[in-house]
Amino acid sequence: MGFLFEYKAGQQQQAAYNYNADINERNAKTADQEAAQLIFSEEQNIVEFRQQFSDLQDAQAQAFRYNGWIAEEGTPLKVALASAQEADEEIATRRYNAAVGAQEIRESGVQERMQGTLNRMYGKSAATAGKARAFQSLIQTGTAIAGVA
Amino acid sequence: MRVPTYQRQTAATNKTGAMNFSVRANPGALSAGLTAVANLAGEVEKQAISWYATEQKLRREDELSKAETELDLKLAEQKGNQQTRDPSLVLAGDPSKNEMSFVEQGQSSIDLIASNIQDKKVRSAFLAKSRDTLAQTTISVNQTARNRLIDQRVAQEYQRAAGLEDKMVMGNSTERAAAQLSLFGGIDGQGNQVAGVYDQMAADGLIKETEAFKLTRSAEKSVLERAQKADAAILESNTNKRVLIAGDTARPLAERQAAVANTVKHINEAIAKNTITPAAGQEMADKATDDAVRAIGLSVMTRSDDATTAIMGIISGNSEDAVLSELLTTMDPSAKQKAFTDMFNLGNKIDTERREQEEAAEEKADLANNQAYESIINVDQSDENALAAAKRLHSNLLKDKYYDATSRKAAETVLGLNKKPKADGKQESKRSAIKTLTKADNDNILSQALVESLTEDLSLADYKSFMDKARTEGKEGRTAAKALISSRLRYNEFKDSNNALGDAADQMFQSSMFELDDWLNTPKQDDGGAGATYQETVKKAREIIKENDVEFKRQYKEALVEYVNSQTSLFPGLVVDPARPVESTLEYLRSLNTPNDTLVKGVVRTIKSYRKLLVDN
Repeated sequence: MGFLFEYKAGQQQQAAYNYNADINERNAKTADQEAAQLIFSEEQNIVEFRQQFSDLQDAQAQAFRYNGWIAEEGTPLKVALASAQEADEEIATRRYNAAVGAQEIRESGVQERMQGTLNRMYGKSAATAGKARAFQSLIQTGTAIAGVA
Repeated sequence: MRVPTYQRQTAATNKTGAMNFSVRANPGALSAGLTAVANLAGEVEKQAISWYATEQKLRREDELSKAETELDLKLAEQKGNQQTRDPSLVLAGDPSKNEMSFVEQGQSSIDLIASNIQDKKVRSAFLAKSRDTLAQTTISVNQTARNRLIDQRVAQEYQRAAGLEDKMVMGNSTERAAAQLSLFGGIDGQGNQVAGVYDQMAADGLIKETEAFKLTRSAEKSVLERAQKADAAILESNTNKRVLIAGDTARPLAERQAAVANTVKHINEAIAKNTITPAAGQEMADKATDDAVRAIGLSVMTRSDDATTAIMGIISGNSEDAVLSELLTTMDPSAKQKAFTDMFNLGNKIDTERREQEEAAEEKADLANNQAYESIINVDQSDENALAAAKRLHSNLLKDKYYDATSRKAAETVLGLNKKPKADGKQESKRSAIKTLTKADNDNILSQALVESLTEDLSLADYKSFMDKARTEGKEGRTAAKALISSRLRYNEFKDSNNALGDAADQMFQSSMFELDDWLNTPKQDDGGAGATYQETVKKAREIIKENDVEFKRQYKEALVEYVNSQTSLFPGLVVDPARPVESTLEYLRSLNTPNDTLVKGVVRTIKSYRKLLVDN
């Protein structure tokens, strides 16, 4: 009867490995969502930043104007363009950082998927080993019985 | 108013978005399946090899075991066979007789069995093991064979010693001397020291010295005892022969007297030589004397017509035999008394037997005559030959004076020698005659005379029939009378006893029967009872009993006194009062207070039988 337990043990090991692989898949999907959420969140921040920067430009133009400067030409314009340049770079940097963060999260998801794939391979191997051990046990038992008989 | 400017605040990250994967494939886990399969294959291979090895081992062990078993059986059989072989052949064999020793037989069996084994390893193992087996068996078999050799030798020597003992007892003088030298040792004719059988056996290691000493002593004792017994047996045999000579009154007196003298002489010599003890010698002499006296007494009694009278003559000291007189003087009084008593009883028995033989002869003659008479009465008158034969019988009966008047008339009537009933078979019997005779028959008073008186009224057939009945009734009357007398005298009870009562009963019975028969044979005209009816015969028996009753009682009383006196050897204090023997004896026995003693019970039973006889009418 020992061979039956060997066979069942292999089946159980495969089930455990498959369970772990499912968890890995779930973790991978969570990572994908986190990456998308990171990009989405950063775009919201950029929109909010643009709003704030627009307010800043208005205040800048007003300040120039208060100081007697024509805001739409000469130096005020250059200053406004420089600020705009800085803001654009700010946005680009933020997007870049968000993309890197998302990529990092997705990488963890890839790792989870790889782990899941491995677990399924382990499970398959464990099932095969269980069958082989069951056969081995069966052969030993049969040989022993034949020897006794 | 200060003009606000904007400087970017977020620096670009230096991360690349990639990461170091920690995922690692586990070779062990991944290869576990194939490893297990490999193990499975290995196990299959291992089991297959193991199976083959086991099978091969078992096959070889089985073949080896079979071979060993076959060898064991063969060796056991050969070992058993050695028990009946000459031990020397078992040990060494004899090539000239094509006889192998046990080892050679065993090796031959091993070679034969090995030649049938195909597997070299099995054969090798068998040969190695069989050597040990054969060696061990050989040790046992050879040891047994050596023991048997020794036993044979010991047995031969014992047999030789027994033969020498026999020669020492039964051989002549030369043989005895030679046997003495061989059995016990000594110096032979040439002056050489010779060892005895047992000493030589000890010297050869067959028995121990102590055993040799014991056996020698035992043989000396045995020879001595056997020689004594042989001499005693010879003495007894010779004594018996001399007793026969001394007791034979037909031999010359001198020879008989010499036999007596030699008996005494040889017994005395045997006592002197310690062949028999003095007591045994005395016993032998007494027995010889007693035997001789009895032999002479028997001889005297058998030669005399009256044995009792003859022995009474000897008892009273009137013996005419010189040897007997001489022997009686040497006998012990009690032994002499016993011999006299025994011889007297024997004399009585001889006389009784003689009388019984004479009576039997007479009865036989009577029976023959009765049968002849019946043949005559029943003869077939139509057969001339039968009639002639019957007439011859009639003639013989006349010569023997068998007939009385009635029976003679009846016989002659049937034979046609006298008047006979009218017209054979044609005359019918008268009813009155039949009635008279039938009534007489029923009343047991039918007689031949009565039948004869009615001859004229009877047919021949009825005449014959009633004559037969009358004869039968007469015989039955005698039988009844005999039983009556026997019963009164308790004859059947006492006739086989040895004591005085038996003798008295026998004597009185014979006397009474003689008286009855005498009456039956005497014709009626002479006051006899010839042809008497049943009732008449029985009546006569009663008369005899009554007439003799006083005499019966007197004789029984004397017998009782004699019987009680004969018991004084068992009861020394017993004194009989002749006037009242029964009561005085019973009183004495009661005084012993041993009612359950077998002897007392036997005497009481006998005495009570006497008392009943004395009281009965």
